[in-house]
Amino acid sequence: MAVIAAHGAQTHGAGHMSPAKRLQVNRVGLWLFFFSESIIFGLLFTSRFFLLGTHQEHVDQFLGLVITIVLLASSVTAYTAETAMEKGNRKLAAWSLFATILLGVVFAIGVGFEWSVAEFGIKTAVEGQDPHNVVWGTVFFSMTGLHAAHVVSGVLMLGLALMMLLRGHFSKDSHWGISSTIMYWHFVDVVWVFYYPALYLVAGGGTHTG
Amino acid sequence: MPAMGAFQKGYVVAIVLAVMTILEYLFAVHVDDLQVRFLGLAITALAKVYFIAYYFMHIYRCWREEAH
Repeated sequence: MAVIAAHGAQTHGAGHMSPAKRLQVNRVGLWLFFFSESIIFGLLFTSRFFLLGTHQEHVDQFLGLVITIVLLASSVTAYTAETAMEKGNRKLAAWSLFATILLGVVFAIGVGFEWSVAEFGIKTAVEGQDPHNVVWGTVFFSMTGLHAAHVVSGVLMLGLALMMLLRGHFSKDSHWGISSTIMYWHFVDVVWVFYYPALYLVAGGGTHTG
Repeated sequence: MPAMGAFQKGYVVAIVLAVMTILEYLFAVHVDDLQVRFLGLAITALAKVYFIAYYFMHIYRCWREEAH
């Protein structure tokens, strides 16, 4: 009985999967991870509208647009890195990964700069100050902070992937380490696609109480 | 976009996303009606996510048993 069970486990276990099947399972697993992450990001996104409606404090519109385009550009370089790897062009893949890291760092610096010049806070409202200011501050710093944390972890993972690539790991036929890291990077971009209008644009570029 | 190479396809999608981002900004700044603005931003965001998930993240590969 135990032998049959063991045989069954081997037959259906990960060790007997074809490389293509294993890759498919990896991809589905990664998407499930994205789904679980989406719940966290989604809750913050929902709380922004639940607490404040469409109210928005002043944020730097130009800076918001610039960092959004920087993150979008980093998705293009990430796509280039993956496509280059699929075609066996390691040199282009390495340079594209490097460019992605650089753009990720620029984005993180942009968010840090936005934080440093923000006209709102998370401390108790001072007398006479609009209480929306503090709620907005909490929402804004929570949303951008969680997202920036993912950007920083993405940069670290991209750096690790680049180091491994330069040390001879990965090939045209086996580069899941790079593909998965790049998918994670695109996911971070997807989150910003929702966060950018929610934090910068929903009030029409200025402050608005809805 | 079946006839395009992989690189070109990515760059075309990137240009589409960049144009959508700028249009999204201009739309938000110039449209006064809150409901129209909210709806426009939501539709743009969903369209951008479709492009990223399909062309950059290759979501369709979850249903295909294929190598790199």
